Amino acid sequence: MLFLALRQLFSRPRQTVLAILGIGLGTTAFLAISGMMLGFREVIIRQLVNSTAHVSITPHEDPVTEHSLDGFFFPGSLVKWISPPVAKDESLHLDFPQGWFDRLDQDPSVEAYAPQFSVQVLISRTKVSRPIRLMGVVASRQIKATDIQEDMVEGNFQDLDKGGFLVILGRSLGEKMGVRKDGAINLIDARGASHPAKVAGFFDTGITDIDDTLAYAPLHYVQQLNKTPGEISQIAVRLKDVALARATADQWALLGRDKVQSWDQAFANFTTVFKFQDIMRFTLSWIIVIVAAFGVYNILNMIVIQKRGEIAILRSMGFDQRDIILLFFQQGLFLGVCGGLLGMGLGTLLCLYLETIHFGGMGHTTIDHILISWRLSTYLIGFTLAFLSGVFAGFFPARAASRMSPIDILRAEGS
Amino acid sequence: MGILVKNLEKSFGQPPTRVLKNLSFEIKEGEFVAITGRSGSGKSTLLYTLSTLDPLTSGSIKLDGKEISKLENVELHQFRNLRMGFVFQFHYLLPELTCLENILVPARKTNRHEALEKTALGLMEDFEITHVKDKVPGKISGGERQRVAIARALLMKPKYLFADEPTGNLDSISSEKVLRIFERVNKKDKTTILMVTHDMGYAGRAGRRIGLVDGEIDFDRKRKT
Ligand SMILES: Nc1ncnc2c1ncn2[C@@H]1O[C@H](COP(=O)(O)OP(=O)(O)OP(=O)(O)O)[C@@H](O)[C@H]1O
Ligand SMILES: [Mg+2]
Repeated sequence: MLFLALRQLFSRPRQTVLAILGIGLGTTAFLAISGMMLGFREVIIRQLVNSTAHVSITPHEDPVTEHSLDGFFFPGSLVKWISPPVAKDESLHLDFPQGWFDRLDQDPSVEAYAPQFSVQVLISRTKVSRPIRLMGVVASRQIKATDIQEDMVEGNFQDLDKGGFLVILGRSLGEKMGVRKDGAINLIDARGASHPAKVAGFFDTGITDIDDTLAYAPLHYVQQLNKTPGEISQIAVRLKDVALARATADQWALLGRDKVQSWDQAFANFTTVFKFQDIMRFTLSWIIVIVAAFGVYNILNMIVIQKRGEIAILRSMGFDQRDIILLFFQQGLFLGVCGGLLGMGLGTLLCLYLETIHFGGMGHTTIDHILISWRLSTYLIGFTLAFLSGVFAGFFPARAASRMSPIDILRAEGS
Repeated sequence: MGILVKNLEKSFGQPPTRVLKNLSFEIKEGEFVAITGRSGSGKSTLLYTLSTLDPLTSGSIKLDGKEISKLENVELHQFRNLRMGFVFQFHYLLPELTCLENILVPARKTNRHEALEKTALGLMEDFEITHVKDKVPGKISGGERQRVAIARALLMKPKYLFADEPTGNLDSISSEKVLRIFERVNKKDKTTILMVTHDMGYAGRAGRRIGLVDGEIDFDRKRKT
């Protein structure tokens, strides 16, 4: 039957090519759009994860409610505040970081973790000064828990561990300060004291907000600068599986008062955008299936109607209903498979082309060209969509053909 | 074994119109039977009912001893594929296949189309259509098409050949060729032939004529030899 099916298709080269093109272009569009959406998303996620770690543990911050201070000021009394206290019961450091270290060391889902201590300082050089966040880290741990090493554009992040008050700046911050590698800068703490430091390198995360306002320094120097030795303000955790970040964070949050956030909770607005994108992609895929399937359905339906007489004679020769279904169903499958393959080919070419398109920076990030995700799964989905449109479109005409009674056809055609 | 028909009834529609009325007769193996009658007398209906294409309303048709209304699906299709050949007024050749490929289509059911290619070529030679073997049906004459269709019907060496006005669309020269083929097949291969025809001249060349009037047998005579 495959022989007959193919011959029937090849005897209508124009319609067949059009049907394949229809499916193919639909698949191409799906692949290009998915590639761009996912490509953009992967970079954003990488940058977000990079700047926050998969899971971050920070001190609790509970808003002060009307009665939360009663016991402190007036133990044992009922209090009616004329003007209730407004504040945040916020701690700048983790109460018991060692407890976290112990449990993270034992947790098999943890890939690495890095303690951090951040303070606000002014960075100054000659007459320029800017407020920045100075993050104290243990370089060897930081590079395991985050992607910072990949973002280094000059110098080596591990040099921070070499000794001395070294800092690594965001590239754009360095440019604004007019400082080069090995140049000297001053860090001015909240008390006004000045601490000289040397620039050991630059990083570039692609997120302007971070590159403009963040500097890394060795952990114990930052703790000393703040006169708070041993304090930890944040623990960045990398999990073995980033997909479990949210579940893990929620689970750990139950263990104490400290705030445990996964990267996607920290950037909830982005995840909303991603969900929206997924809905769009999903809708698009169905539109493609329907449009492509309609093209195939049309051509097959026409073939079936034209070939009523031949269907009847095949039945009289002993071909059964199953054979007739196969005859037309295989044509649908063939169109679907060819369209899918064509779409994957064209889609790959289009994505390769899109990758070369450059445009200006986009404000918050320094992404300057179209990013394409090359996930195999996207291609498998694209092919499956094409295949399904062939299956659906082939099935109904095939079933209709198989249900035709040969005798009714012969009588209708013969008269 | 032949075909044994008993009290065959066939009706259409609601309320039912009886088209074949209580027919009983026997067709022996190797007979060449012409079915004649006026338009609407039920000739085609009888042929389709005898050949399993149309189910009967009541009565019994035994083909080689088998009650055809009780054949299982697989057996029914095997019957059609191996024991029956069909020729209609219209050829119903597949336009995208060459004539040789068309003749071999029935063999595709059992994947024997390569093994039977010699047989097909032999039939083409017999029917003087070898010159069209690589042409598509659209590019040959009506008479040639009908002979290709007959070759296709005979490829599997069926015991029974059912023909519904096989010469209806042909001129007298082509019709004559078809009749000669029928006569030869009937004689040489002992193929049982049931042929519906309007043409009294062609009917006269069959060994037996069954005349229908309003779904009943008007006459049933053997040719005197
Ligand atoms: N599917 C059907 N539904 C209703 N009536 C039918 C059907 N098929 C045939 N008939 C009727 O049965 C009768 C016999 O039809 P049939 O086709 O067997 O005649 P015929 O002898 O072959 O005529 P012709 O020489 O014109 O081919 C006709 O009156 C026809 O209208
Ligand atoms: Mg008729």
